[in-house]
Amino acid sequence: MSSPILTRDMDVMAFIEVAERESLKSGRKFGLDCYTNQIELITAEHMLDAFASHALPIMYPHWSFGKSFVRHEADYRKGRSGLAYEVVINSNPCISYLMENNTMPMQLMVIAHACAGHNSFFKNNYMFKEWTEADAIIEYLAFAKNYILACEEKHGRSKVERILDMSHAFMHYGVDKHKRPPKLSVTDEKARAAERAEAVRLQYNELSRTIPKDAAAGAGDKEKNYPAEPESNLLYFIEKNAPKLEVWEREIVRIVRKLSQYFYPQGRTKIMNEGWAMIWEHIIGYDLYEQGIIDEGFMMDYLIQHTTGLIQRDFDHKYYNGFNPYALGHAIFRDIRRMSEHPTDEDREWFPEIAGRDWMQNLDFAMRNFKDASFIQQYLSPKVIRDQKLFAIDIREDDKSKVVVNAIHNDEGYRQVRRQLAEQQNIDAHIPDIQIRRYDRTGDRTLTLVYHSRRGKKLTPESRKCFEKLKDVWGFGVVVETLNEKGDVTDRYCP
Amino acid sequence: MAFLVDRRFTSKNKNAGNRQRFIERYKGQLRKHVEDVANKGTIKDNATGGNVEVKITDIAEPSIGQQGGDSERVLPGNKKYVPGDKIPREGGSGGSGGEGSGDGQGDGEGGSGQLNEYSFVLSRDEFLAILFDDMELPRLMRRDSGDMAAVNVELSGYARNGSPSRLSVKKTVLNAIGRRKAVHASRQAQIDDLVEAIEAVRAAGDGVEALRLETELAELKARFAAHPVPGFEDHDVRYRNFDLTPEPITKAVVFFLMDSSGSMDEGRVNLAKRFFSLLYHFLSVKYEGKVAQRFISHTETAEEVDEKTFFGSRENGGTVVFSALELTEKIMREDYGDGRTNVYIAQASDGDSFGADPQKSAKFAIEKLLPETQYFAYVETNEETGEDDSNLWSAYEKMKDMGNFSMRPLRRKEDVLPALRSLFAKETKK
Repeated sequence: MSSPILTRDMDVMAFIEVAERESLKSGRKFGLDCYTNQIELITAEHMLDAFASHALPIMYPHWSFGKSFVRHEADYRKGRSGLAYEVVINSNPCISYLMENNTMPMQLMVIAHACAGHNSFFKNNYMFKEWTEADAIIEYLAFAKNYILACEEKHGRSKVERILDMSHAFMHYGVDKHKRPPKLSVTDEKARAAERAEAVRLQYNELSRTIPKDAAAGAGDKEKNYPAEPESNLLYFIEKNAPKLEVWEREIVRIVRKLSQYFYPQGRTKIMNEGWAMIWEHIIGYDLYEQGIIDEGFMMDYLIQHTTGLIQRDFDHKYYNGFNPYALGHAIFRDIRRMSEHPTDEDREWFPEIAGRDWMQNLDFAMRNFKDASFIQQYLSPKVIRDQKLFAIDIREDDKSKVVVNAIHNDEGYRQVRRQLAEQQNIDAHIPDIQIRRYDRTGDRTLTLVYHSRRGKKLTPESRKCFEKLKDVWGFGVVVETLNEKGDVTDRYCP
Repeated sequence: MAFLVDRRFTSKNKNAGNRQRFIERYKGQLRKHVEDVANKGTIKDNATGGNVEVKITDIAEPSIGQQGGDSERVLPGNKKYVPGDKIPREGGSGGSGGEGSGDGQGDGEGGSGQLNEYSFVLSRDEFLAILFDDMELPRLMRRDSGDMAAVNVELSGYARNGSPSRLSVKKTVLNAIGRRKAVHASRQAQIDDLVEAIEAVRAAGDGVEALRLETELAELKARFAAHPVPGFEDHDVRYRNFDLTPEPITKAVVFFLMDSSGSMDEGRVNLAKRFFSLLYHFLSVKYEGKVAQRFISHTETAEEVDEKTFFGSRENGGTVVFSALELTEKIMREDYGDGRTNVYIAQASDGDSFGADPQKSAKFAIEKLLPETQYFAYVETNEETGEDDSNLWSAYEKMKDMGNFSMRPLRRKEDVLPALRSLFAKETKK
């Protein structure tokens, strides 16, 4: 065999260049379709940037949907301080960040994972195509970052943080789930911001200050309820209606709203996206090894890193921390391939459309057309359920001392387990249903929110902190009512 | 095809704005870590410690979530259960806990509620800067007005002009030697050229030409003899040059008073030393050498010592606080009597003095010291202060009325930093 092209003693930039080229070439053989990569080599200090700036640098970690920590748990146990850090952005060109002090096998792994895996997912999965615009986002992120920095300079950091913190607290309430978002354009945004500032300026009229307040309220004529329909896009409502916000503060709320929309798909495809990236780590790694581009020693290190990311602890393990999305996603994708190439009778019975068919097409179809909840519902097989020994439990409010097992990995239980796991990963079903029911615009400006509680759930104490922030920004009364399924008000909270 | 960008070499500077922003943003957490390290570390660590590693947890901001109620969940790793089995909950295992709105019942990573840890290394200076962030020497004033600036004089190279007292003989002589050599060499070269020409002509047999040239040579030599190369010329002379930098007018001195008597056992001495060592670092970090420090150690007599002895030694003897105060006053009068220096006093003792000493000391302080000082801080290294006040503590209580005196007890190691902090807290601007 000729000597390997990728070795540990290469200069890191040269390594990255060759690694990216070979990995993408390898991926293309198997049908991967990616944006052009833009790889940035950074130091630990740059990661500081992400933690330091509350503004929205491209690597802002709070937007944790947009980043993944690669195997940080394993690294910590090995005593390494610092993180093997991978950040990749859904953009065109696809920007990713590699840390300078990763080992070469690690760099290759991150390239296969992010620059091939995540990249192709961003480009082709339907949720990303519908909700985000990879071409426009970088410019928008830069606009957002600069706008916020300018506000910090002009108005002071703590005022900006106040608005940002409140907006972040309601990050999940900034999306119109039933409308497709309009196209992002920085020129439009800037023009709009200027227009709004101008409109406010034109409306300002000295005389209106002199009108006595009672007359302004309109002589006892109560307004019909505003808003006419309850509003679930809380950030949108706040942006448009909050009585005490300055123009620049509304802009910041808008920015958070736009960005939460941008990150909407990422929260809902985490398992698929990570599983997809892991699969390609595996496939590309083996392919490069078989071509002799990397040697045995290198491959060993690569595999060791790769597999530590696939650790899934059992539910009763000391360090159990929920489902590892990398492991679960990888397991399902791998299983799809297995069923394509070596189907058993069980597979043919359960998955007739994919058993025995072309694995590349099967994988590609899955990647394009599903999100986590539907992916699990469609593709989780009895074999994976058995491998992972999945089981389903009932948790009941009226008996907190125990939980009851309702299904396990046997014939009677497979469908139940699958359905429950799919539902469990359906984030939208678990975000507390909170809507704005009333804003007393002409009266005392109280904002009334309603939380629809289902199946006996209650808001966490931490939620109150969020409402306090809202009250602080709103400037007038805020009321949060809890409604049970019958429509009775079971709780009334005024932050 | 791909774009590769190498960002490693941009903003390598440790003082880049982002590092500062980071420290600002995480000040709360950093402060806590830094205090832990300061409290737990040995005194030597505080003095000589290098970079400090702290772990920052990126605290995810609060988010809306719901909990409780009825739900179902799927878990991995079933060992023995069949449907219908009941698993006891300890509140925290597997099934219970809040559902975050972003992370699907605690599964997976990301989403709110997940803490990201980041290891961050502080240089010693940053460490100390954070530790002493909200501290200052109170009432530090410009005692001077007008043009009486002190000037700092530093040697800085050579100049061609200056006063005779600043003449640099060495440089001048060196220049002269060099010049003389050069001129001699050029003259010699002219002579040598002529001599060579004469010999060539002689060898060619032209006697007439040779004679003419010899005459020329003789004239040349005579000319040279008539104009000897001067030993020194103005051109050679150099003077030492001085750089004048103005010194800041605000000056301060801090007196460290340590009770080294026998009653100060090792624990108490360590508390005092810890306090003084932190104070010392505070001054070096915040005032970078602009503050003078005087160290006074006393038993029944007082003596001024150097920094090393102050922090290092232990003596034995009785306790007469008055001796230290008296010595302090003497030094103040002799060295800082011009009224242009802010004087601060920091005293540590276990309060274990007897007889007339406490009252005498307090009276002396009120009459002679406090009027001349900006601030006097007293710490008592005594576990029983508060329950059973020492004689000195009770005597000193009167001094509080003067307005520039404060006292704090130091019962345990953990009290030191808070005490230092509160004694030297920044005055908030009204």
